[in-house]
Amino acid sequence: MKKIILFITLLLFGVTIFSQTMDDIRINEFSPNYNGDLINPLGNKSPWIELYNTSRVSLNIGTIYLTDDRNNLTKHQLPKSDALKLSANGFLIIYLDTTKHFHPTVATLSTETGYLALVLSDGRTIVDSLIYDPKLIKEGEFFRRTIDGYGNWENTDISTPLLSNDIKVYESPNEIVKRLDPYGIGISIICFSIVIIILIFLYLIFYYILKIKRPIVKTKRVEIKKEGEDFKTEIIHNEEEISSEVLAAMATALHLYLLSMHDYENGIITLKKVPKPYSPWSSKLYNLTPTPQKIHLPKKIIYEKNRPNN
Amino acid sequence: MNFLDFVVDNLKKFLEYTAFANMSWGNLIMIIIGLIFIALAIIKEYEPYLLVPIGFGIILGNIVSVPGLQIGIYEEGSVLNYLYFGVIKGIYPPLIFLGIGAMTDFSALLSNPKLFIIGAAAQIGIFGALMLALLFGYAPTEAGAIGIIGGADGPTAIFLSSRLAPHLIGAIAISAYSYMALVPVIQPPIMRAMTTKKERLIRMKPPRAISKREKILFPILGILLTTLIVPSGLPLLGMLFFGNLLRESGVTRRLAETASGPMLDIVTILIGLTVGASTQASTFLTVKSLGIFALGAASFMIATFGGVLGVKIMNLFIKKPENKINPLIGNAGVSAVPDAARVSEMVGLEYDPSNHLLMHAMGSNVAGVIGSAVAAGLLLSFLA
Repeated sequence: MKKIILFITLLLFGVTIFSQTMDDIRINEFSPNYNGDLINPLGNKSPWIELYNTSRVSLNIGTIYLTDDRNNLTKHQLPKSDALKLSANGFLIIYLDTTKHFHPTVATLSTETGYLALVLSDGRTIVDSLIYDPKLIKEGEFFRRTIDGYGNWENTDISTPLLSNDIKVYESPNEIVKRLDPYGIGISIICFSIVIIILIFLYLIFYYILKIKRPIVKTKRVEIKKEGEDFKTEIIHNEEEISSEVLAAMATALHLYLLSMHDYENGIITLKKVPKPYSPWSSKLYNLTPTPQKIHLPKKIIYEKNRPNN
Repeated sequence: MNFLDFVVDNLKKFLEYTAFANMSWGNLIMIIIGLIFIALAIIKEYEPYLLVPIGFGIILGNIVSVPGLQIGIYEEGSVLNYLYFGVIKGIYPPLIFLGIGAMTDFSALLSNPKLFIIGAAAQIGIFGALMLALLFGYAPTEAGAIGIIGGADGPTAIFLSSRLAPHLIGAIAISAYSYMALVPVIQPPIMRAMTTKKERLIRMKPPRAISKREKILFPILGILLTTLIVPSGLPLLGMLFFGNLLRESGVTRRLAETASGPMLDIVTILIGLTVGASTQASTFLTVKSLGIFALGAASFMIATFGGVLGVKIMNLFIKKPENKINPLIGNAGVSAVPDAARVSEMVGLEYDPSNHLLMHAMGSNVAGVIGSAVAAGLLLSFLA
């Protein structure tokens, strides 16, 4: 008995899953008057609809119907084809092209009726439908759900074929500034305030660091011992800081002193014959390889050097 | 084909390959501008370390070759293009900041930290120029890059424009460096107009001696306090403070000497030459470039105004007369190290020959460097 109940439960569960997944197909985006870059498999630019699988299992939507006629729900049946497989939460584009050529992803439907419906394979159950006024549609205008598979329909200038409708459209900083702050007043106020705050912050930090440091810099503790006395600790203050004028004078004096000392000679190119005082830098003697000199050794040493080693 | 035809054909081909055949009037004008830059640098000694490489670069960039020979700076694979990579990718400016950090003594600023605020006040020039540029129809990223001219800091201007508006680098860099050279002409009238005689005679306390510990603490605290708030300023501020730590730590003398000496020289040569070469007439001689020059001048004026006004406002809050700040050092908050500080000294001496403002002005000058780098980081985070 238990096995029968389990079997029936599993059967019902399976049927439920199947019916749920087929029911969960939705029309997600619709381009009734398309003039973009998408080319359908027949080589034409044509209107298209984007279907969205809201379930978490992949399925093939072959055998379901698409129609543009309320009175004829079985106007176009999608064939069984691998091209009609929708992954979990996946998208599929079906092109609407009235030219009489066959392709699994092309339906021979028109957008001029103002009606579009997705019908289950039973030919009666409408899964999703869309009603619009074809006369009000402008070129390059799209319909899409605000949330994939569930949201309300909205008109838009931006299409997202095979992509989620929730994608935030990238807007460059240039566009954002142009739209929100065309004269840059907001940006200028914010940036200038931040620059001021950062530099005031730096001022405060260094001002207070210097305040804390001053006593440490200025005083020194020393131990002094005089004859016949105990150690005595005294705090003596550093000498007054040298003023910048004195420092500048010292630096100038040093600079002038160092300028007067030079270890190079003035080079002057001239055709005139000039007296050339001796300088080791210009002496050829130091640049030549010394001539080998014969060393005069005592006879005894020469004899010892030349004697064969026996 | 006989020999004569062969020679004539090759001669024709040669003539087609010469720069004369490919040059326009614009290129000729740019070459003349380059020569003027070189003349100003050599004869008048206006910023020779910048104007000579830039002037020569302008000449290089406007000797036009046949496309496809991989010679021009904008031609992929050319030597100049590889060198220009350092500008476009913002590599050279942080290296220059490393050198600046390694050669700058921040003692004047540390002895009187109030000067930090002048460095901030003068940055109003950046944002004033940004708003003006937007008003004149520049795109926000272009306006940001133009605005930074008011920071009066060449590397910062190049860095930010390489990120926000690479197509305007040439015009922005030339504008920034030109106005930096013209600081002695632009600033004094504004300084005089905004100050009273009494204010110009204010004597400031001589800066005190700064201990080694304070000097070492400065780059460490500086990098933490600034980049934790504005991380986008990291490339410039990070290198600036790192260079300064190399200098002040006392244990990396060789590194500091290399960073502030040979390395800085090499990068200055490369940045000057390539920025100059990027000013090809076809990209440089445009109405936009003229607008950039006009806005650059405006940004320098606004920055000077902001710096001097900042000091005047600060003086309202300083009670003790001996602590008052001479507003003539306000102009130095625009960076332009050390020209702006020299202007403060010169104008100060006109009114009191014994009142030397140079050291105080150097304090606000280096504060301006930090301020403009922070402002660049902010613009980068808002507009990039």
